[in-house]
Amino acid sequence: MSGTIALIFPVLDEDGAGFVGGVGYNVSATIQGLSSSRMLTVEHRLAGPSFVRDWVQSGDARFSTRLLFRNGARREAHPFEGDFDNSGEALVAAQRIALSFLEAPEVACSVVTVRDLQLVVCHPQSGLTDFWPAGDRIDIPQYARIGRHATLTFDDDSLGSLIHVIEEKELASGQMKAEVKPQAAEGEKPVTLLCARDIYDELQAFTESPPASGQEAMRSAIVTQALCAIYGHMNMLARSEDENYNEEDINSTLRSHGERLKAETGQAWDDDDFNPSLAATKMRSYTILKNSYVDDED
Amino acid sequence: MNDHLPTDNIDGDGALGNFDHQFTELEFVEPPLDPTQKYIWEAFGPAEAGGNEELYADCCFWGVVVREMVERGLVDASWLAAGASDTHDDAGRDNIENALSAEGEDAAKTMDDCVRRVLRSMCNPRPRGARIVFNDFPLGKSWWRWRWAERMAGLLNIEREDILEQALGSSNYAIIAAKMHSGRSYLSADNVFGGLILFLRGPQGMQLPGKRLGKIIDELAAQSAWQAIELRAPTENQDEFERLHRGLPDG
Repeated sequence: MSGTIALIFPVLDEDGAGFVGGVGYNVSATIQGLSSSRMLTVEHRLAGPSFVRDWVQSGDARFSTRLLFRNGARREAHPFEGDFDNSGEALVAAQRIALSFLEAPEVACSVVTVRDLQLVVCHPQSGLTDFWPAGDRIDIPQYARIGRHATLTFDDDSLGSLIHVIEEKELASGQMKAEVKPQAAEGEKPVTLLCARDIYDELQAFTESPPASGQEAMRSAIVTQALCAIYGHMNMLARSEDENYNEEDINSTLRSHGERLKAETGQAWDDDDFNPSLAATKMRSYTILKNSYVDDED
Repeated sequence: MNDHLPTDNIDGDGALGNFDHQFTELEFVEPPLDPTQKYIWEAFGPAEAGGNEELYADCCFWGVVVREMVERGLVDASWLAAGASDTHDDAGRDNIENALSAEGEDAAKTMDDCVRRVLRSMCNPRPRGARIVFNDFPLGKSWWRWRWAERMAGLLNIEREDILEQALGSSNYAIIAAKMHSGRSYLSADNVFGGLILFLRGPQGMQLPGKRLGKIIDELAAQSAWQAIELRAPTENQDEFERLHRGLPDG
């Protein structure tokens, strides 16, 4: 079944409009790592009882994630193929997708029917409001997006968009060097972090979420150190009275990060009393885990 | 040029490698499929998934390549001012002289047009943004045309050369590249792009005027909102392209 049809079937989104309270489709996405072999984790969550959830459970519908890498106009489709967790109040499916590109993708998720189906509206099982009369039979074609989530983007000021991590073989174990290029072209990452192999490996597993183990705390601290170097460079540049320094010329990702720094910490790198180490540790505080040695043994 | 060209830390010598094809001006402005586009494709190599492809979508990379070509004498700097509509030798030099000597109301526009042509030929994103690689810049267009053909050849088990000649001719490529970078990028999902290639190789697609191709692509865009066309097999999408073609009014 195909062709142009008006939207005559209910679509579940994050607000659950058209569905009763408590029914919704939510998605969260995180990117792990700062280097070329990054992983995207997408969590689909269907809350409340609904026909969408029933069809996912029965295999008549499946989660699907679309990625758009805008610079190269490259799209990828990743239908979910694993097991989902239906033990709690929500049905949850976690997808892990290896990212082929350095650019952070735009993530659009949906729930898609795998064949032509007919929905017989039934209250409250279908999860629909009375707008859809009980007993109505609604034909829904194969590939229909019966669940749809707004596109998720990774902010331009995310660390992954700011810092390009590369391995520098000449550096000894445990060493790294930050290079800041404030006037980097748009789309180019303004900071390059040259790392020894061991640091490079650790940063591949870095996530922006708060550290929960000693090893994650160590990775986070490496990034704090890098932020300190960036802030020190920008502070020096802003105060250099260089006639060529023009804030408008600064790479938009870096400028955006500076705005985020100011909003979250009250520290601006062009202030006279700006302190890079304080700003960096306010932005990404060191996490001291008192029992971290226990984590390390696990 | 050296002071103002964004380089993204790309080394020109390494980027250009051993590429030593001596262009003519017309060939640089509009590289023919064979042999020049083939030289370009082979020089920069088939992209590995990921990293390389991202590099070849990068304005900085191509900007560095052009600079290196000028430095090695493979192209003349004045050719950067020549446009695709120029069909005579020394067009770039003539355009620069015209811009410098223009007077009256059109002087500013003549100069602006000339500067824009130079920026486009250097793959500088200022005139049109990053899509310049795919839409305007001759070397980038050549490489991507071959890249897309190779990608689809692998997906559809069709010879790359057949796709280049039958489905991704320069006119079709121009329309598809423009659509992909103007809100119609859903087209680039393998199954959708594959369906389009199959359609364009078929009897209906081969006779298609360019304007109609653009309309068909637009029509499919609306479907993408409610239907997962990216999960539909290429042959199913081919059927859909054919149906849309039949449904559009003539003209």
